[in-house]
Amino acid sequence: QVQQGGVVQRIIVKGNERIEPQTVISYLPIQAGDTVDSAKADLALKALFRTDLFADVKIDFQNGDLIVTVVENPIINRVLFEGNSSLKDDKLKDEVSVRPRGIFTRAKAQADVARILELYRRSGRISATVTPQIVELPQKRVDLIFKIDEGPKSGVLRVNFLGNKAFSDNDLRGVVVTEESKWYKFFSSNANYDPDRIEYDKEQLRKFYRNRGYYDFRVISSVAELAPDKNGFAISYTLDEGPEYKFGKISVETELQKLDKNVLASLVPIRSGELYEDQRLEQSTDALTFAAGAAGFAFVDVRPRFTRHPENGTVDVVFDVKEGPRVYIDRIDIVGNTQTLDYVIRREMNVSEGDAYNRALVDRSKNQIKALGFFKNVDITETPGTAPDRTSLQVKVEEQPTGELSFSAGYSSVDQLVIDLGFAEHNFRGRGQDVRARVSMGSLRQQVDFSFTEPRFSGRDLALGTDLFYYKYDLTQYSAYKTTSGGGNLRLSFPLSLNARGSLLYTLRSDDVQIDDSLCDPSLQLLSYSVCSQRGAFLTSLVGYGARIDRRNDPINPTRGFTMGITQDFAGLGGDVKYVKTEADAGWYHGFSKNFILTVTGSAGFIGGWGGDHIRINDRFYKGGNSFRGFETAGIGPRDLSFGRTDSLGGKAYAIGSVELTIPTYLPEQYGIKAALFSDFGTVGLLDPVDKRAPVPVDPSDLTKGFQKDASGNLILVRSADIKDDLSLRASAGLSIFWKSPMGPLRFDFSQVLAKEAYDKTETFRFSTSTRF
Amino acid sequence: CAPISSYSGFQAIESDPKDVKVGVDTKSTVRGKLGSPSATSTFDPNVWFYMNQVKERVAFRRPKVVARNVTAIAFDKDSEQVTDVRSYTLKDGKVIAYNTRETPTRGREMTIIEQMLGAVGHGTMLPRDEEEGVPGNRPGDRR
Amino acid sequence: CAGKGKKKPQLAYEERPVELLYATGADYMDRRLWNQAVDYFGEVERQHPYSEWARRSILMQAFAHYESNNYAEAIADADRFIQLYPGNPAAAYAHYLKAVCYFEQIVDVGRDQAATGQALDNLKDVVQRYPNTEYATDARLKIDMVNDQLAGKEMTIGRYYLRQGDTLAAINRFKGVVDRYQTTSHTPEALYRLVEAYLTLGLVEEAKKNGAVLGYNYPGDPWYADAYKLLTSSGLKPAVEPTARGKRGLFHMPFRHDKEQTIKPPSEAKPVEAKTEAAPPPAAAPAETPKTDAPAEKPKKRRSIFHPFG
Repeated sequence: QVQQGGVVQRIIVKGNERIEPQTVISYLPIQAGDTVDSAKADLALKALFRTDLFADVKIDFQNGDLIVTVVENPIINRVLFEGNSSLKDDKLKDEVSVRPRGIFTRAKAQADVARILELYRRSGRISATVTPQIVELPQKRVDLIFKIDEGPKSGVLRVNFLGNKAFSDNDLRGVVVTEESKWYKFFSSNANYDPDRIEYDKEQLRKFYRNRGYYDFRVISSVAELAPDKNGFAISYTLDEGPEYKFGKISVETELQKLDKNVLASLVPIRSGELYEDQRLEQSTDALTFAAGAAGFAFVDVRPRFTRHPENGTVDVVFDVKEGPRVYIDRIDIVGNTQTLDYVIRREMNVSEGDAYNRALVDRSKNQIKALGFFKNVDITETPGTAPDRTSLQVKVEEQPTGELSFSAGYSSVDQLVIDLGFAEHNFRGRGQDVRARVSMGSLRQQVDFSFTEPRFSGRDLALGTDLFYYKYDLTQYSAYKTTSGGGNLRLSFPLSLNARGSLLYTLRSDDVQIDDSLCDPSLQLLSYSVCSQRGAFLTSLVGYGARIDRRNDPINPTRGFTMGITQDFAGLGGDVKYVKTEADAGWYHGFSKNFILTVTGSAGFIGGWGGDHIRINDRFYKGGNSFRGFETAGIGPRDLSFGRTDSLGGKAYAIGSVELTIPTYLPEQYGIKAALFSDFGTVGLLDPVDKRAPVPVDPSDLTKGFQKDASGNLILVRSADIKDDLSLRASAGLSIFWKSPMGPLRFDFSQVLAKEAYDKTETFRFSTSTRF
Repeated sequence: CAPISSYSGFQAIESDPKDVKVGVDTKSTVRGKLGSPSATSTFDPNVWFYMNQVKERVAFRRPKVVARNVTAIAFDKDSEQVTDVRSYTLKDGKVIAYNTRETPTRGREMTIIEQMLGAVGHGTMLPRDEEEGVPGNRPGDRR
Repeated sequence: CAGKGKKKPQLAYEERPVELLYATGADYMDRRLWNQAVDYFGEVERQHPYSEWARRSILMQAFAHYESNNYAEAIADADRFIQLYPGNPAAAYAHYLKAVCYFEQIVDVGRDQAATGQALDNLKDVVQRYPNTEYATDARLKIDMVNDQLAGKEMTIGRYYLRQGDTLAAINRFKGVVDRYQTTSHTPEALYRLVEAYLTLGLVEEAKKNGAVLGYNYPGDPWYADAYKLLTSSGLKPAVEPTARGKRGLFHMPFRHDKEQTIKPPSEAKPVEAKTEAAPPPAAAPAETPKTDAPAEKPKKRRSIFHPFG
C-alpha cells in the first residue's frame, strides 16, 4: 500500500488483459505529476471499483512509480436458466440485468438472484430458491447459470375474520382481494399469498366499513400462519367495528364575504340523519369547489371538520370554505402524445395559460381528455412555476392503439359465405378525426361504405361528418325483395348546452327495389300485389335535425341519470319520395348497487307521407332481433300471408319499451361477462291503405290478368285479404349474457315470448355481435 | 341555446389593478396586492400587464371575447415607483386577421401507413350482424 | 448478437480466426447488408473479447444498427463502447453516433418532443467533451436545428392560443421564444405575432416597440414587411423601411435523414482537428500494432473506408 507520499512520475498498469492502460488511467483521480498519499490512493481504489470493470485492484507507490495492478472482471458468454418450469426463460431474461457480452460482477449476479426470487414470490412460490453458478471459459470468459428450485405453489387455504358483527365472513370475503385457492380457480392469481395484497385488503376493508357508517372502524391485526404441511397459508383479520354513525349537523363556514353560506350549504349532497359515508364527503367538497369555481372564486380550498358524538351515534360535519392560495397557471405542457397532436388535447382543456388554478376545472379537463378514448391513462400534475404564486401543469398521456383492422370470413345459414374487411381509425393522423371504411362481400350482401368525421371543424365545437355508401341487399330471407342503394350524407353536430347536443343532416340516396318479374306475374299468383307494387327506382333527398340530452353519469356503463333524444327527417327536398319521419327515444338508469343496475328504455317512431305519397317498403320500420328480443329479425309488424308466403312489410309506426336489470355473475372481473334479466314489450304496424288494397289488373283490356277462377269457374277479383296489420301488443322476457371476448363483444339472448300475433316470427335464442350493451 | 361562458386571466376579487396609485405604490406593494403580473413587456421589465377576459361560446359559433380589461402599470427604473397606470377595455382592442403563413419546422410526420400498422390485431374478427340489412340499420342511416 | 435464428448456431460453434470474421463483417458493411454485418462483428466480440478487433467491432455494430435505423440497439452499442473504452480516441465517435441516433428520431412539432430533448443533451455533451473535432462541428450545426425545432413547438402552441382568443397565453409563449431562442429562424415570426397580439389587446405602444425591434434586426424579413403593413394600417409610423417584398412563401423543409452527411466510424487514426471537408482521413495504418495479433496482409483489392488496412 502507499505509506509515504511523493510526486508521481509515471503510472504503470499491470494485470490488464482486455482493458487498455489509458482507460484505467483515465478513471484514476491521480495523474502523472500529482503528489499522492494514502487518502488519494484510497480514492483511486474506490473510483476503479465503481467502474465495475475490475474484480480486484491494488495500488503501490515505489520511488516515483504508481503501480496499479488490476484483475479484470470476466465477460459473460451466455446466460442460462435451469429448473424453471412455471416461468419461461425469456421472461426471466428480461428480468435479469446481466447480458451476454456484458461484464460479470458478483454484485450484479446477487442482485439478479433477488430479482428472480421476487418474481417467483409474486407468482405465489414463496419457497423458491435460486443459486447462481459460473462456468470458467478460456480468455477470461464465463457462462452464468441460474439453478432454480421452484418449490411448491403456496396458496391461501383460509381467509377468516374476527370481531365482525355487522357483516358476515362471506360479505367481507367479497370485499378483500385475496381469495381462498379452490381447484376451479386455476385462472385467478389472487389466490397466492402476497404480503402487499394483505395491505391492499386492509385498505379495502377500511373503505367498505367507512362507507357504511362505521366511522371508528379499524383493522387491529392481520396474521398469516403457514399451515403445518407448508402447502398454504391461513390469513385472519381481527377487526374493531365500533358503533354505527349517522350524519349529524351539516354546515358550511366561509370568510369570503362574496360567497353566501346558505346557498353553499344547500349544494352539499348530505342530509343530517343519513348513514355516515366517506365517499359522500368527497362528493360534497367537489360540489362546493365547483360551485365556488363557477362563481369566479378559483382560489378556494374546502376542508371538512368532524366532531364525533359516540353517545348518540352522530358525526357533525362543518365544511370550511377558505380562500386558497392565489395561484395562476404558468405553462401547460403536454407530454407522452406520441401520435395525437398537441392541439387535439389542448382544446379539451378548460383552463389556459395565465388563468387562475381551479381544481374543479382541471379535473373536468382531465375527464374530457379521457373521453377522447385515445389514451390508456391521463394524469395532470403540478410542477412549480417561474414565480412563487405560479404553477405549471404537466398533462401526461399514455397513448393506446386507436385503430381497428378487422377481417372476418364467416359462413352463416342466412348469408352463406361472407368476407368482411373493415378499417377504422378514431384518431386519424393524430388529428382526432374518425375514419371508417368497410367492404363486405357475401352471397346475399355486397356493401362498400366509408365514413369520416372531424370533431372540431375549423376550431369550433362543431362536428362535421360524411358517409358514402353503395350496397346491394337480398332480403328474401324475410321480405321477398332485393334492394340496391347508393348515396351519401352530410351531418353536423354541435352543443346546445352543457349536457345537450343538436345535429343537422342532409342525405341523398337512390334506392332500387327489385323483385324478379317471374314472381310478380299476377296470373301466376306467386307474390301479392302489395309487395310487387313497391318495385322501381326512386331518389330520396331528405334534410333532418335531431336533439339529445344526456344526463347519465357515465356514457359507457351508466348507473344514474337519464338520456332523451328526438330526430325528424323531411324527405321531399327534390327527389321523388315525400315523407316526414319522427323518432324519439329515452333511457333511465338507476343503480341499486354495483351489481344491480335497472335500465328502463323506450323508443317510438312514426313515418307519414305528404303530397299524396305513400310510404315505400324500403322506408318503413322493421323491428325484431336485437331491437326486440324474442322475435326474429323483422319478426314483428305487418305481414303479407297471401299465397302461403310470409313476407314482412314493415310498419309506419312503432313503440317499444324495455326493462333490464343487471344481475351479479359471481365470476372474476377479468372474464368480462355480464348478465341481465330483461323484458321487451311494444308494437309495430300501420300501413297506408293503398298498400293494402286488392291487385288491380295490370292490363285493363286483358281482364284475365289479375283475376282468379273460383271453384265455379267465373273470374273473381283476388283481394289480398291476407295482409295482417294490427297494432297489437307483443311482449317477451328472458336473460341476456354480454361477453367482452378477445375477438370482440358478443351477446347471447335467451328469450320467452309472452304475447304475440299468430303470424309473428319468434325465436328463443339469438347470438349477435351487437356492441350495444 | 344558452351561451357557455368561461372566465380567464387575472382574478380581481378584492383588489383591482385599476386602483394602483401613481407615485405611491412600488413594485413590491403591487406584487403584494395583485400577485405577479399576467405578463411583462417583451423588452422592458418595468412595464407590467394585468389582464382578464370573459369568452362566450354559443352552439357551434367560434368562441367570442365579450369582455376584457387590461391594465398596464409602468414603473420607474431605479425607484421602482409606479409612474403610469393605464387601463384598456374590449373596445380599445383592434380586430386583426391573423397571418396564416407559418415558419416551417422539421420533424418526421407520422405516415398513415405507420398508424394503420399500429392498429393491426385490434379489430373484431366476428362477422357482422345479419340484421344489418334492415332499413334503419343500413350504412348512411343516423348513427 | 442479433443474428437470425437458424444462422446463429452455425456461427457459435465454429471458432474462426478473428481477421476472417472481421473482414467478412466489413465486407457486408460495404454491401450495406447491415444485419449480416452485425452478426459477424458480434461474433468477433464474443469469440475474441480481448482482441483489439473486439473494440473496433463494437463501433462497427453501432454504426450498422444506426444505418438500419435500429436506433435503440445503436445507442446500446455506443454506451457499451463508452463504458469499456472511455479513454480511447474513438469514444468521441461513440458519443457523436449516440447524439445522431437521438437527432434522427425527432418527430414533428405537434407531438411529444422527448427525442428532441435527449438529442440536445447528447449533442451538447459531444461539443463540450471534444470541442475541436469534426464531430463537434456537425453537433453544433445539429444543435441549432434542435433549438429551431423546440422554438417551432412553442410557436405552434402560441398560434393556437392566438387563434382561440387566449391572447395572454399567446403573448407569454411568443415572449418565451424571443427570450430563449433568439438565434432560431422563428424569432422574426415571434416578434410579428407579438405585434398582432398587442394590437388585439389595444396596447398600441407595446406593439410599436416590438415592431421596432423586428424592423431593426430583420429589415429584410417578410415578417417585418407584414408587421410594417399592420402597424401603418393602425395609424403608426414605424421607423425602419422594409427592404423585402411582402409574402415570400418559404418552401417546406421536410426533415430529411441525410445519412450520407453523418460521419463514418473513424479508422485507427485519432479524430482529426476540425477540417473544412468532412471526408474522413484515408485509412492509415493503426498507430500502434495491436498487441496480440500480427497485422494481416491486404485481404481485399477494393478500397473500403471500413477496413483498417484499406
